[in-house]
Amino acid sequence: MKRLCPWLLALALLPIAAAMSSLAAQQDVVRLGITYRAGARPGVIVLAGPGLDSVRKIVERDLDYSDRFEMAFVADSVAPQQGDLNLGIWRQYGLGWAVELRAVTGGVEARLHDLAADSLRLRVQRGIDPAGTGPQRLGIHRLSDELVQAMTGEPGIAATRILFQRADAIWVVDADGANATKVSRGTGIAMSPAWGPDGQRIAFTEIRDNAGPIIIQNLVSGTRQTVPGTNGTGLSITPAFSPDGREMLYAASGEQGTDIMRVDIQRMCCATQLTVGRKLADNLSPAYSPDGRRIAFLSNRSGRMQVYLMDADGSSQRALSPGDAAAGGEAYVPDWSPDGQQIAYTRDITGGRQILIRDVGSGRATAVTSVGRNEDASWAPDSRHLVFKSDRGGSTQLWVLDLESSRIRQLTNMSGAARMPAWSPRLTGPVS
Amino acid sequence: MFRRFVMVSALVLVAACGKKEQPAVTPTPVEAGGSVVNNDAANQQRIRDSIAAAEAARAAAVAAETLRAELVNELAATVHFDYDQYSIRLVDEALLTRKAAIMRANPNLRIRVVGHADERGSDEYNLALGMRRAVAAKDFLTRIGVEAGRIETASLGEEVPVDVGSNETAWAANRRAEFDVVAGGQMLVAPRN
Repeated sequence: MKRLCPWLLALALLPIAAAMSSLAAQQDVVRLGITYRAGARPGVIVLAGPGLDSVRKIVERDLDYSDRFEMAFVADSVAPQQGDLNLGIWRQYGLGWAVELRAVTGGVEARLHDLAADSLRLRVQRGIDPAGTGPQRLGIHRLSDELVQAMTGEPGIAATRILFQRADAIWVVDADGANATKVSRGTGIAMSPAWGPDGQRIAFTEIRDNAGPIIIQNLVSGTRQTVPGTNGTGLSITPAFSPDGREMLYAASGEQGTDIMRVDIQRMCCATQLTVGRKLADNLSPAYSPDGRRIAFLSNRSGRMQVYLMDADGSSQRALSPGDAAAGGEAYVPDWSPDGQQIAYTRDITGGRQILIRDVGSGRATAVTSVGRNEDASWAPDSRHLVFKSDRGGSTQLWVLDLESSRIRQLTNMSGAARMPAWSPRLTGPVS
Repeated sequence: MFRRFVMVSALVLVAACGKKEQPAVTPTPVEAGGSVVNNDAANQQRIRDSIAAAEAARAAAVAAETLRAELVNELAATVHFDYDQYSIRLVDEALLTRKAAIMRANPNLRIRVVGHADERGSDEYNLALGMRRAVAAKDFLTRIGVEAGRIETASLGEEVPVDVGSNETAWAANRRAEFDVVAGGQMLVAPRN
């Protein structure tokens, strides 16, 4: 596949003689350092007033990672923006948008200038601490997402986080790779994290003392609950919340094989078995369709592990791609895109393990990775970005792929393997 | 243990002979060469008998412990599996047959089988595969007469490798089922055969 980041290869430092009004007043011609390569996507520059350098960098990166713009990056040497913008300069270089950030009492004001239309598209003030770190950064990410929404009509994915497993524990990291934090507190081996639709509850398996219950932990309050029926013999693995947050699917693995169960987590009762593998087949890794009416899952009932579909009540079980079994190679861990159109999964293809995207309507499948061993794809809420684990960089780490541009970036770079990523919904409430 | 016993005895003797102004508190002497001599012949004989009995008991205890340790080792012996398979290999059948014989000879014995996988399958499927390996070992044992209720099963998937390498040797070592005694292992008798 043609790769990966034409951007970085093509970066050219373009010194632009600019005469921003305030600087012109000093009767100097100042050379501004920005990097920008005009392309098919609209160009955006983010300019910030004094004290907002770190906010500018976060917004710049968020807009860049939305993969919807050609970013004009302002070099560190550029003085903070003072006074009114001279928009004509940026228009002259082909940029479509200029984001202007100014400190105001109690927060930050963002102005979004539509350069082509010569109009102010958005002007909002948000209570952001410009020196904000940790969870505070989420406010900046939400501002970025508002800007993306105003420019493209669709919200961005900066205010999201990604759960993953590392060193026997569950971790969470911001979508831009910052703030990696351990969140599970139990002993034992925590695995297979999943997000609740509220972005506050998470679920995971905790293997300890030869049992493996599913724990639901609230990231905000810190409370932990054990899902009823999962604390006996055997393991309860691969939890998934229903889109309405009232039910949970998981796979019960024991002496009768591994089968998918559904349990009411609102009333904490009433488990129902959805697959019947007996000792002949294993069924695991369920993923709801976003409308909650269908479930994709893995089964080896035909020999090799393949992706299957069923209705939410367990009926109408059928192979997602009947040809896959004959073609050879195991399949792994499906995830249904938030727009309902596609299922991402993994298959062993000659020489590697690659992520595939299958269009649910047409049945057409496309491999979207080709380098190294890749696995565990999880969709971003925009249905165009995927996070997955890959050994392409040497160690096993998490990577983010934009399906539209094929741009790929490394999300984690930690000691030890990072794996089992799960991308959150857009986070609108408190997160910790 | 034995070495420690000898050292303590030596210390007692040194203390007894070396400094008479601080005589060590010693029990009734049991050996010639002690500081007190008893001339009663019958008493001497009783002492010799009790020494012989104690030594015989100790030898028996040592032998029992040696046997117990050997049997526990046999019970704990790991079996291995082919890639993505959970059927018991022919080469491991004798080992499992021996485990079953030990369990039949020791009805209070309970064991746990924990299945493991190499790193190549998906992380979560490996938990299911490890479970199948544990269950395959259990099924083998129950087919030859061990009650199912005496064997627990569990899986750790690929999470606890014995060899952290990423090569065929490591993978082969990691595809395994491990056995632990969970109850009834304090006293074991050997199966008759």
